[in-house]
Amino acid sequence: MRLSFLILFLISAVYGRSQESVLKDLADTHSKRKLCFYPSTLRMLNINKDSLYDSTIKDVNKLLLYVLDSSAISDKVHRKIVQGYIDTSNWEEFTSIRMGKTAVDVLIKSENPPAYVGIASSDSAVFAFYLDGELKWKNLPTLQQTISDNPILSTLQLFDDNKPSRTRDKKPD
Amino acid sequence: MKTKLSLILILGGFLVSATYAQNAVVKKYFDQYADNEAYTKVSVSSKAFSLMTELEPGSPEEKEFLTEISKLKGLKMIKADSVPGAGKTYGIAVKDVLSAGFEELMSVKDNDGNFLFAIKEKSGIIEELIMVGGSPNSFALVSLYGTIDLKSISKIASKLRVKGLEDLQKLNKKTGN
Repeated sequence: MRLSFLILFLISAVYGRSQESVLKDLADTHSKRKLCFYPSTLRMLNINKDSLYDSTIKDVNKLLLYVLDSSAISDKVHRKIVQGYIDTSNWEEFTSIRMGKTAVDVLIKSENPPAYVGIASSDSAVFAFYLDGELKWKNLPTLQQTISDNPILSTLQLFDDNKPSRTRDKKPD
Repeated sequence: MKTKLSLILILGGFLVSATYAQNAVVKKYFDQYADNEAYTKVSVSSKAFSLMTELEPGSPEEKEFLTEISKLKGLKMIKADSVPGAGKTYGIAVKDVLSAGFEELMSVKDNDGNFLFAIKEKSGIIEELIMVGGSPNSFALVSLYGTIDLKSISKIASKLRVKGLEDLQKLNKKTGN
């Protein structure tokens, strides 16, 4: 009985980790900026006590934001991330746009709670996110504004393009 | 037992091929031009449409639009504004659409180019609407699938504000809806 519970726990742990590991494995090696938000840190950003913001993020369990460096473009990280999730069961296309050199893909795992992975790339920049939980998408501008205007994040110059990138040793394909 | 298994396999194969054929025309062009940056490609799933239903309508017209949107299972569009040989691509696409079992609803020829509207219908319900448009230098292929009401296509096309869908409004202009 105990052994079966242990096995079940281990399987759950591995399965739970695998949802974001595709993004992390590929994005971490090209990451110029990385932000990780949990419910408490998301609430901390709401220094103006905006109730609309609070209702937007109340069902978010985890939010990862990546700004990737230029090597992500040449290494075709965008395509690898999308394919990595498509090859994993339970992930499906949410929306996809290709317009010139701009590509946007959002994938969804329709479970309870749901999860989303998104990646947007152009000829000069690549952004990616992983969201575990539910976001009131109609209020996305509110979330975006709060993160962009937050003085703590501004102080850390997290979106400063002059900050050197942190490209780790690339893993072999 | 073997006969039963064979029947299940054949039936399964038929179902798979039928499902594949529904978007096979669009998929062919998405795959063909996957790496061609001159072609804009947009794909929206039913889950994305269902999110739109969470929006609060500001008017009865918006409520009607959101109701119609919620019945869609997806949208796929491929479009290019300045490509050589677009006229030839249009001709091939028209043949592909008609060969895939779509029924021609309407064809239009105007200053913008040639347009074909075709549908797949089941039990009186339109399950997929395809529009193929072409001129000497431009090409467009749009597929809407789900439960489609032709009367609301124009409103859906104008509200979605996706560049390339405006040609769908020709359908309503011609039918007088």
